[in-house]
Amino acid sequence: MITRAASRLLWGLLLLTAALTLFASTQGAMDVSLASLWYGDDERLRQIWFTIRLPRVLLALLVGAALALSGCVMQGLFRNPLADPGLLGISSGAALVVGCWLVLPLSVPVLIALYAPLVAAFIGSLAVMVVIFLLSKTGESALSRLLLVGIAINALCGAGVGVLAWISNDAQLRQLSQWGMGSLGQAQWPTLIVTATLILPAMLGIWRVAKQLNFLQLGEEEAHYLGVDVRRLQRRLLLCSALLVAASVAISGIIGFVGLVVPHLIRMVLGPDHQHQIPGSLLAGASLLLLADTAARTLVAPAEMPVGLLTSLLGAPWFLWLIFRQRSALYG
Amino acid sequence: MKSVVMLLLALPLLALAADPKVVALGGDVTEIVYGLGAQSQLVGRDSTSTWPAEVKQLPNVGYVRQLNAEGILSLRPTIVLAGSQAQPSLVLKSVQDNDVYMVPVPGGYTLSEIDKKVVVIARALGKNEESLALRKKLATEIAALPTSPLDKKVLYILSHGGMGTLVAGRETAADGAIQAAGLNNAMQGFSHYRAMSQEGVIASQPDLVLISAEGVKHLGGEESIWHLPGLAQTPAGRNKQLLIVDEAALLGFGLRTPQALLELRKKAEQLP
Amino acid sequence: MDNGFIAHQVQFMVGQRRLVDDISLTLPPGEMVALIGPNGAGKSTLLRLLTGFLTPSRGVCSLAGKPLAAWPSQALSRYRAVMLQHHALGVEWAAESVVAMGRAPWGERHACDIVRKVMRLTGCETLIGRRFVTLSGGEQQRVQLARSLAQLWRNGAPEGWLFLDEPTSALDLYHQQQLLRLLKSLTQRARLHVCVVLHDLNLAALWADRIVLLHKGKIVEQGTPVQVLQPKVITRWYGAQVHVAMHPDGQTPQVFLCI
Repeated sequence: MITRAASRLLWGLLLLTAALTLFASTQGAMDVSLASLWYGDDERLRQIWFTIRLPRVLLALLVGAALALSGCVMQGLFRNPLADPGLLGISSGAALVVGCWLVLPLSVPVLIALYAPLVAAFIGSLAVMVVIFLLSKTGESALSRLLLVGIAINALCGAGVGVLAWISNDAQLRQLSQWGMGSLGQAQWPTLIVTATLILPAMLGIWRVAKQLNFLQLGEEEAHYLGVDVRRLQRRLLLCSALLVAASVAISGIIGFVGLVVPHLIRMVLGPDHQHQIPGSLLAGASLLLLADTAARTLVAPAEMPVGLLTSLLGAPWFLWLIFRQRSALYG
Repeated sequence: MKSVVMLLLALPLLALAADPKVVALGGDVTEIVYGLGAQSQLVGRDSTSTWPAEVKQLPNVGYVRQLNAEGILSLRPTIVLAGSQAQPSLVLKSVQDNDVYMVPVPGGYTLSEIDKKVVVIARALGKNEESLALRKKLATEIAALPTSPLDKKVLYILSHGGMGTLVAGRETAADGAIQAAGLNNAMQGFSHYRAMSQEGVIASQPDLVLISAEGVKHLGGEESIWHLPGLAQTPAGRNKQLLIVDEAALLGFGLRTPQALLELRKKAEQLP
Repeated sequence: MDNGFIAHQVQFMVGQRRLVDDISLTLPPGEMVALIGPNGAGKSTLLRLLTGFLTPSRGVCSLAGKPLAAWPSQALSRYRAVMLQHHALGVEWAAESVVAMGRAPWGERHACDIVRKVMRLTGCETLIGRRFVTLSGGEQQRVQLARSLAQLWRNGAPEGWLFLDEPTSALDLYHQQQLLRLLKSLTQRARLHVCVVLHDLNLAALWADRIVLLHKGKIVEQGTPVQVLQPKVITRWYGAQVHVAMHPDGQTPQVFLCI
């Protein structure tokens, strides 16, 4: 049941996101206005806008929403506001395989080479997902065990990337670290559609158990007594969240901050009910990444900045302000 | 009659070719464009294209290994010369799909590659006449380079910040340059770059240290080089034999490389 | 639901230790049963076996003749609710939202009416609108009780089995009395059946119809308070020296520790 106040806020967020989308679609290295798109006769401009800028704007919305939702689920599942999508080591796994692809000499047909980094990142994420799935099937205290496994995977993959850095040349190294800072530059219609087919079902899968996620906040045992199949719910949430992260990392590299802070912000504003948090995180995450990416591709045009840097720059001050405001509300 | 029709049909093509707009991706590529006298066709370059100085006036489309499609297309190029380092390939494909003639320029760490680059670029820009002169000049410079092996060991140090100080092994541009000058790379037995280890440096006993100007600045001056691990116990360190090079010129395998190699060879011949 | 909860030769092992060793117990309807025993006797473990959270290593627990494992979890939740001792709640839910969660097995759209009634019944109506994290321990326990009763609410009153694990631990005297009086009265209307783990022997004696004494995973005594609360019995299983005397209000025995 969505309360009136929360409903108003969510509508506001939706309008904000729509406005930002319109704004972002007119910003970029090329000078484009909506009027010139509609009435102008520059076919080439229109084509570039449609094949390059539009998919990128949509991808920013999609990935931002996916990362924020994944963070929201992690925080609800582990009942810890410090949980973030990278907790389980999925992005590390992706980074390791991408690093291997960049550094190790492998000759592949040109068509595969085109999409290879994307596929490599996805394979890495998938491998970690399989580990998570197997572990989540068995035993008690699966969650705490998963946390420890995530720490181990993060450490292992980090070391792996370190080894690769050791044997790579300067240029490959730089490319790997660039990938680590995130970029939406590989947005095109085919890659966008593939990413969407992974992300949208995962989002739906999470939305349908929003109420059960609420019950889980009472505690695993309490939720069990309320009739929730706790193991199945946890596994579903883990897999959906992992899929969101895997798809995002595959197409855009590592973009931090969105998954940790957006759900946190939303919880402060909309309250603990996941029926509010889920749509709220989706919209706020989409808006944040869209704004960051727009800045990334306009500030130093025609070059671009890594978007991961900008999400932190944009989000952190906001977040600090909200914390201080919340503190004074508690003690004031 | 037929020939007149053919000429008329060819006119639009000539018109297109007459005013190409070129984006050069890669420092070596840009050098060659200037070498062919085609710089008036340039509308953009990447961040690694820094020579000659006037190229910095052109819009910079970003780091060559992290390009973005819209940035390149916003300059409305008709031709993009993509050096071997240009990434990601998906972005290049996007650009190509938007009616841009994408020319892949070969890479490689040998002198013969430079000639191939000139051929490819000249053909794409329609500068075949100028290319003949340039290639001749290139061939003369390369011929002037002594090829007799000189038994001197050279150590190339890379210091760019963030990664600490590294030394170049096999399969690097530095290794290619050193060998092209007829010298030996002090670092054998590994590929790509490695961190400096005291034992490794002492064991390799280099006679000469090579480093870029930026690298020196980053280390904090010439004197600090001799404080790096192990160098003091090598012939290079004892005699303070150092050559500061323009990294893009020596390692880019572009037009300036033969000259840079000559300097390197001359310095090596003067070693005690 | 006439047969009630039955545990038949139930055993639960963790590694080599037998936390519950060959216990058979019946919880018929209309009774308030207290589980007592010294620390480590297995009371909480037995509770979790009876409620279906733990699966016995041997033996079977059943409700209405059907083994608990065969019950679909949502259906089972409409007949049995559990109130635990420790509440892992660090979240900002409002008290009435916590109570409303009790209606989970029923899947209604609006439970405000029931929530209000239950909170009035348990004396926490004044807590409506307060955030759960800001409540005192006792207030939180009353809200959790309200949630459990809301879970069993059917036709205007709670109906079914309510299991409680040390519900009085954080309550002051007044609220201890209120809670146990409430449970007793609900049981007496013969629609709510209660099984409560209690530390305090005297509270158990005052309100329970039947007391089950556990020791090291086995049932060692079972019966009315008068039968179980005898000095020899208490000393044998608890090790402490006690006097037993009758309560001024009635015929329930009360235990007094020797100085």
